[in-house]
Amino acid sequence: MLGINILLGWSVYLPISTAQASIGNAGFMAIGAYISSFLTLQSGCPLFFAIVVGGIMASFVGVLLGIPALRLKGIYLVMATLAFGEMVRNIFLNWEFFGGAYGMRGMKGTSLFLVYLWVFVALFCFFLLSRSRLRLAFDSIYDDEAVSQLTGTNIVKIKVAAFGFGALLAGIGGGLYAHYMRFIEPGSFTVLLSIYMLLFVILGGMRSHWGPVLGAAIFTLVPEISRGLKDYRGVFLGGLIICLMIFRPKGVITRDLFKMMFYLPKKKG
Amino acid sequence: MFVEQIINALQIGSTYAIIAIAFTLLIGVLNLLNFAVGEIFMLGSFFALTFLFIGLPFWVAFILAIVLSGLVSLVVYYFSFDLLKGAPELIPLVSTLGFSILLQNAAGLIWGAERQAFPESISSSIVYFGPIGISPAQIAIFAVGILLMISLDQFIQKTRIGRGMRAVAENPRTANILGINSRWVIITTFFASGVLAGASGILFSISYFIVEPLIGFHAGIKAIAAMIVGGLGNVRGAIAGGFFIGFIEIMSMHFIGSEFRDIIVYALIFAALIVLPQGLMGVVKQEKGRI
Amino acid sequence: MPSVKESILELRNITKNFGGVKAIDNLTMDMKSSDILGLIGPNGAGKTTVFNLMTGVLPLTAGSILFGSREISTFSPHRIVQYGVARTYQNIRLFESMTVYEHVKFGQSCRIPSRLRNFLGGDLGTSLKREAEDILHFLGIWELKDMPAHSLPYGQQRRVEIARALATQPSLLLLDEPTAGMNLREKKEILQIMENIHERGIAILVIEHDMRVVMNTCNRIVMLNFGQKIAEGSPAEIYKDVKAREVYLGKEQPC
Repeated sequence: MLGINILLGWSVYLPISTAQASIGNAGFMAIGAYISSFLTLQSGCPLFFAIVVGGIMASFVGVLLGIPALRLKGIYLVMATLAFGEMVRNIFLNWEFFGGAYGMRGMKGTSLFLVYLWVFVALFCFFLLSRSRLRLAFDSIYDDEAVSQLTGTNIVKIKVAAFGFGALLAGIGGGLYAHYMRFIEPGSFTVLLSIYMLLFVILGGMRSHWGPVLGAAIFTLVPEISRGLKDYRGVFLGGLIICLMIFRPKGVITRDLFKMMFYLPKKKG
Repeated sequence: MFVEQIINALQIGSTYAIIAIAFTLLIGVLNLLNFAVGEIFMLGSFFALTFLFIGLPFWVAFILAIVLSGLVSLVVYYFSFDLLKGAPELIPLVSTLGFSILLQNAAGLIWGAERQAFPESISSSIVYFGPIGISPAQIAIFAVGILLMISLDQFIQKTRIGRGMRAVAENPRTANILGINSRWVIITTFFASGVLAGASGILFSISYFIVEPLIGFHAGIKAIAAMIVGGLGNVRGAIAGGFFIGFIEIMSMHFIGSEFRDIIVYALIFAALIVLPQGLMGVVKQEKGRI
Repeated sequence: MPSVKESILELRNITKNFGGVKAIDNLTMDMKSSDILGLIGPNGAGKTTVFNLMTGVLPLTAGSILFGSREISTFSPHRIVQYGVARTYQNIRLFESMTVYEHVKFGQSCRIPSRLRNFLGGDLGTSLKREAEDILHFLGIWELKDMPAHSLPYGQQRRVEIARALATQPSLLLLDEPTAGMNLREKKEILQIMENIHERGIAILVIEHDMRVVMNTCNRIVMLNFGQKIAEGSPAEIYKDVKAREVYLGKEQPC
């Protein structure tokens, strides 16, 4: 599950790197989940391909959404993605073909290997990204979109791409999720889940691809650890978020953190 | 029958309009989407429930509950805004998300997570005007709603603080230079937002006789829909949007069935944002000063 | 240095309305590729608006903008940059996340054919790397290359901004009040930089309030007021122009 959460965290990380806050990624996840489940259940498609197709469908919708999303800034984009996520959930809720409220069950399981395969592929891509000029383009859009455009960046292409690839990751995560849990229902893909994905990134660190990894880890492991808190977990979580925004709004893992870690040894040497 | 549906629509519409205003105030003045507003809506309802439970007369309970809601809003103000001293847009928003989670869970702990019945506080016996049946409760709700909206409108237009709100919405720095105490304006805005949200929640519970921690979230979605359709950042737009959404909701429940009700609302949000963003954003840019 | 003095920029009867306000009123002017043209005028005369119109940030209400005989007024900003127009800003706008070197590297990005492999490539090919180093040396900020750009003092930030613009390989550079807020020594340094840029064959269109800068550097001047051109010519001509004097009476010291 940790691996899946990491992928989901990254799916929000990409749009955020271009200053697009999306809390609708549960919708993309749902698309990936349902499509891949349909393929494996009804058509006996090999798991790997089913997940890929699910992801591609999700990214397709992502691009469709990404284009009008260009016009929306800040809180308005948040509202739109919120609406999108809920809309997708409601559509599946009412669509008997995909099982309606009952959902889909009985998918064959996925293996830890497959999940982490995707995680490492994505990690590799992020690694390449972080050292590339594309990374600079992302940063420029994040810092000052207008100036970025006036320095030759085709922001349309990049922002939509970020959105679309984010959707792809969410879709793949969804497919893996569906086959991990072996059943899915519309209730699995709520806005709260989208918000959690956003929190992976914001709490873990928005400017580095390791941030969502940490965020996902915290969210996956802490519930286990905080079992003792029982019903107070929600309250604890809310309070944690509030405190983090006050004390460390950039998330735990920031770029400065890395620089500190790398420069200290140099000073000694 | 149809007329009765219209009355239902007006009733629920005024409720949505008020909570939409609660959101809009903060968006207009601070460009802040406050997720906690939905939960304050829910809390207002629970507060009222508790006060009624201990035997207070209805109007006392109502007033106490909405004041308490306003105070909760001030707590949110302090932790999500004041302490954050003008961080980029997203940070206070995430903080209010945190509050939303916290408040929703806290409510579940204090009052229990199941649906509870909201007592019949206003007589819901039906009075007939010819073939049309209306209950005093509906009239009361509608009246209270309109009263709140009108007094808010007047407040914003006529009083000093109201004008202060509009000035800060236009340009916080200029407002400060002109001697308007931005801080107090913002505090008032948060308080007003909380009061309205709480009131709206109580009205909602009277209409539908239920209270549960989840109503906050759904109310929030409806409010966002109302704001988007009616015109963002604009109180009158929020009112129009609220009634519109209420209307759509009742009509689609009546004619199509409640499952599709939500989808239609979301599709509307979508369509509005996509088809009209220039119009809406244009409205926001031009009207940005005008609450 | 180009020997043929081609017209690099032509603004023909451009007008820009904002609602009811005429920000730019039927303005016509042109520039050659060997010019350093100074755009002067009181605050609010429309100078920055001209920049915004030229870079595609604002749409024209009427008229046309020709860059090297190509109509660019309908192009999107990034395309205009690719055609060779770069700019700096009145309030310095640098990227908070980037070092000085990264600013230059980023500026070069628009010149690299956008094949994915190239885009993902981290380090620049040798020729680009050399160009980047050259720009940094040219602007005297080589030693600062790994510093976060926003932590530098004002004067050096301005240089980074110029470096970023130069990295896009422009044929026309728009400078918006490059010496604002600087002392005399810093201004002279900027003047020198502008001349060096000019020597490399890049045309410069500069908005300035300091008449000493304008008179010493520009070979042509256009004066705007209320969105209209009210004077045009060489520094000497402008100096003698009665109308121009009227506008600046008491506001600036003559050279």
